[in-house]
Amino acid sequence: MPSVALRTRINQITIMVGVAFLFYQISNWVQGIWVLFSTLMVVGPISTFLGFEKAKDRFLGTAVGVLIAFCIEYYVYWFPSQLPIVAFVVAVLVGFMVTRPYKYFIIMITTCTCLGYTYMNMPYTSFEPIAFVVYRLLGVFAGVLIFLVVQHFWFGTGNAKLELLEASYGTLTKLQTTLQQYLANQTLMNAYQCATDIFNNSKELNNYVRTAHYVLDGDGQGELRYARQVITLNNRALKLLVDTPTVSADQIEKLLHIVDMKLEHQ
Amino acid sequence: MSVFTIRNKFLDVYDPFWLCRVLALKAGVVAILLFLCNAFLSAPPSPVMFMLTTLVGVVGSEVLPSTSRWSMFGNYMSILLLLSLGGVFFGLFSYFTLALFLFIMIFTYVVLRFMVKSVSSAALPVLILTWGVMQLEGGAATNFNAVANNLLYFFEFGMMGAITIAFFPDLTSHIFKSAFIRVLESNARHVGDPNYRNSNPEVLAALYMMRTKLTRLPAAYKDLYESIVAFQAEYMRPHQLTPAQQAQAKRILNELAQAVSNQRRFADQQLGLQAAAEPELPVRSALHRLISSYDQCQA
Repeated sequence: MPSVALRTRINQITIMVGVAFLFYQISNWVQGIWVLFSTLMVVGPISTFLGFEKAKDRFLGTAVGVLIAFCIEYYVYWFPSQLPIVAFVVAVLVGFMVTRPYKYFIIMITTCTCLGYTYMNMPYTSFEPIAFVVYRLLGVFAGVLIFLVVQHFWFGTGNAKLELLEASYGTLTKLQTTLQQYLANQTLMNAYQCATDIFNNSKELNNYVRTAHYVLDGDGQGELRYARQVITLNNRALKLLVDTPTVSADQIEKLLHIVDMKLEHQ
Repeated sequence: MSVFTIRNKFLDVYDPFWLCRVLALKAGVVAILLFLCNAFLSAPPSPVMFMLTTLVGVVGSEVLPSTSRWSMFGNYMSILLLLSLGGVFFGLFSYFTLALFLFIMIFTYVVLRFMVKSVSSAALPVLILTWGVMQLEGGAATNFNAVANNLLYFFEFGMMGAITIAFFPDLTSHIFKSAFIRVLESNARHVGDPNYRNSNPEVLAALYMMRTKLTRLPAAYKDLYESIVAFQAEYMRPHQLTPAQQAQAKRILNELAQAVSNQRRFADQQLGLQAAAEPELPVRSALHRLISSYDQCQA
């Protein structure tokens, strides 16, 4: 069962997709599908916090990507026999960037789609397809703008604060479970396993706090403070589990007690 | 220095755990097969969509957790099926503007509501939606004959991805060893540093990466992982190493990292761990166990 913040966010995303689709249909823009596509990609991480960061990365990454695509298309215009090699190199770079930050990935995927839609199975290539890169850039700009306007003027920050609170609570609950798991089986291997789990579980909350300034901007200081406290407790648990040659069960129990109390008071 | 070398000073900065390199090599192989398929077999006028679907499936099957090549293949087929079916539905509704608007709203809500359990599980549902939207721009199949043709094209191009997954060498051990090298390098860099701790994100990320890959590796790697954990725990003991001991520890860790990079047994390198003139290291027994476990993996 999704949480309250997640359910609300899904409703918001559905509305945002509807607005972007109406814009695409009513404006009858050439290659206007990129407006809808971009809005969908920007809201893709579901979280409001990560959406803002993705919007910035998508716009800047697309701008760089279309610039690269423009240069490659100009090059291939004069050396058309080089296209298979260029396409292979672009495919390899796309694969390399998949797990890298989104701003790098979008640069390569933009180049890839621009080249794909321009050249694939064309009997000959005039210089006209360059227009595609311009349409794509404008479409992405409009898509990102729709996201920013609807998010800022319609949805506001209420659900974002709830998302942060729920993420903090969720991370704290996971910390509680992990510490209990360790106390049930106090071996060195389990200590390291629990530590890597805590490290992985706190990534999402760390990302929220890192990108909170895009959304909250002076608002929601209470939620932010709570999230930082949860991160501090996670870091404390990590230090207790892996920073000493033997783990002190007493200190883990004390930490678990603090976590229990914090969860009860929430 | 080749791209297959586990340790690559230039690429390690961007890809510390070899994962990006595995994905890049796989993307390169599938791209060649897709270009050949497009050149010599029947292909639609705009095959980009089908090619990208295959590429996403291949890359996604590598990134998603899997225990064997079969489970990876299962992941690949699931991604391919979901993306192609999403595209088919969008195509069928694309003929009617109002119906398409209602369909997009309902489909978005239903897919997100029932497939997204948390923020971290959102990637695939969002991908299904974006793939459907991409179908709208030209080439959308608006009748069942066109749908059948499109599904056959998905199958044809999808076969190239299946061939890649079946025959691409399993490079999971490269990912594990790359993470091991990161731990060794971090230890070597911080020899004698009293503030160095295992809670360092670099070490924890490497340990997490190694742990997640154990399910796809032989049992010897599990022993190696346990030896790494034992060594890291021992390494956290305050040692007060003399300058000579620090130099020796640094040298041995670097040489072990080099042996891992070269995929050779440490014992074959004829190195000076046994040198009588050198002072004894406090972590000697844990280091011996680590080296012996690593050599077992290379045996």
